[in-house]
Amino acid sequence: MTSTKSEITAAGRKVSLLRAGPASGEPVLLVHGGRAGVSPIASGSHIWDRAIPYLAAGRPVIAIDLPGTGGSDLGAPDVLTVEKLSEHLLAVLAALSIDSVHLVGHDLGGFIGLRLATTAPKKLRSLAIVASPMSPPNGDSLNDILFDPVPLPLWSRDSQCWVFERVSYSHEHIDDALLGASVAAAGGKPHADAVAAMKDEKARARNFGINATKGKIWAALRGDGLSVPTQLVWSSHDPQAAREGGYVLFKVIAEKQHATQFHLINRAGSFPFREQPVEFARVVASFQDGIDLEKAA
Amino acid sequence: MIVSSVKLSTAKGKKLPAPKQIDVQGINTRYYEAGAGEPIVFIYGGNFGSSDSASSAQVWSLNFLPLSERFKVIAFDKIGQGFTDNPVRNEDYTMASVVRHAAAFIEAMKLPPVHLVGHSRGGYACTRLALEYPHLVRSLTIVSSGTLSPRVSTNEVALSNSPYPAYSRESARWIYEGYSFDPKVVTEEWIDNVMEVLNLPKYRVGVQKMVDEGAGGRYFTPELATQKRETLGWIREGRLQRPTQIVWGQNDPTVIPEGCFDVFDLIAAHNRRTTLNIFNEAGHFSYREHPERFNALLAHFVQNAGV
Repeated sequence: MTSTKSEITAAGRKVSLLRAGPASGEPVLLVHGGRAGVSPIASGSHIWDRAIPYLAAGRPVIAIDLPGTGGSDLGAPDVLTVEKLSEHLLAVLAALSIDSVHLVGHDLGGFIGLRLATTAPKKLRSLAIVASPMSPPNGDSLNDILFDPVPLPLWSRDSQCWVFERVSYSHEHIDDALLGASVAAAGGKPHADAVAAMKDEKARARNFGINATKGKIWAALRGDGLSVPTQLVWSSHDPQAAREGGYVLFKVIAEKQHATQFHLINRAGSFPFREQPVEFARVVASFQDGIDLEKAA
Repeated sequence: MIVSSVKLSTAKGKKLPAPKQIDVQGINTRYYEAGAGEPIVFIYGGNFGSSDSASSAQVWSLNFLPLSERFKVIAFDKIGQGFTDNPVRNEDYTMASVVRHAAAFIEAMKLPPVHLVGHSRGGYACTRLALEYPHLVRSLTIVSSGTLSPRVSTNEVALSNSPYPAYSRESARWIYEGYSFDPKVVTEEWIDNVMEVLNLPKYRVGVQKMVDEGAGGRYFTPELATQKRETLGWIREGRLQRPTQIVWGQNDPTVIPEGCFDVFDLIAAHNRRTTLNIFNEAGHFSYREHPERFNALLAHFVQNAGV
């Protein structure tokens, strides 16, 4: 199955996206992770290439580049917060004339999905939070030394290859297609704009507003809870998103949302959808199928 | 190979087909069969010798028919349970007999390697079957099995202090409601099926053998204790080599939820294709409590076992 690349305009920004799968059906929106301009991987919709053929077997799939990554304009740099990025996703759905989606978000994309589930639940038919280290409660976490010895220059092929290996169970998925696309994403104007925006000390310290948003999310979860069916997909060997964190978040969401599931994928690190694409996709597709069937019943 | 979509419908308005019977090494064995395609064989939980609960193949009714739209599905009564003959000798009231009979049933049905789905004691039985008879097994789905879990089981607490007499409808309902997150999932039809088995004279003979004549304490419990040690050892040695998914209910009163992580770690250490799947608001019967999502999980698993 091939993905088709296209561009749309949402809230004045050029948005680059991949589409695959049948024309009809409840669509899936894939939201990649990474912090534009900061993360040592130039992420984007290309990260999903191994899972898309499976996810798109039963329903239309759309994978977007977030602002400041891949082919999507950064626009006003203040977009680089979880709040603004979640509003941006709503603008993308409006531009695509899509009422609601099964949102699958990885890393920061999962956290953006979690925020959307509290602010715009009607737009999400279901939510999959995938290997998302910033989503669970963290307490006083240790300083992050994971990428301290990153090879320079940042975002070169060698550097990104090292980062992918650092967070993967196996290097097998780190192929020419991935590195080529990641280097290409790093060479684009959106990435350059995001890097420039993140040179600002205040912008860096804000860290995408993750902590500020978390407070709002816990308040919402302890209040009415999530009304969106939610699954958490974590990996056995993820050096960033520990399984305990995913299971704790599952228990917090599960207090108020009956359709909550927790999944653990074996022999995977931070990229379960690349490292074990079939196991990942069947777990995610079955949740979406089950939720659609429950709603129809 | 690209997976195809496996969308199913619900069990609503569907009835189980008429049961069939087959001779399995002298044991008259009752089973249900429907559909065509990759074979899925269900092994339910429970044990012979229980006077206030009784499983039978009908417990899979919410899964059996939707899955039969895409697969060949088979649910049989284990030796000594449901409508299948009891063991001939007292010393055969053991888990070893249950596993031997299940394997002989699959052979007698002349099935290609099957996708085994086992719940509770049946989750243990299907795991042991996959270890002893790997040539009969294509994949493994282990559902809420305190028997397999290396951690403590709280089942004896969940079963204790029933306010109703043994063999009564009220007692059966009390047990299954206590096992479920939402007591409303325990339908009259479910209890009808339990009562039908509890009232079978041959079933009561099994209870008499296990409880009154002491076969439970003399044979079943010690044999299972020995076998479980061996089974966990075999898994630690990496002998379980079939795609495996572990399915657990977060609110299961028979096991502590952390036990499923232990089962995952034991199997996943040697078996790439291992996943853990925990359902919220699910007690001991996730496949009846959330049938649409359980069936979808199973359908995608079976469909992709060869990918």
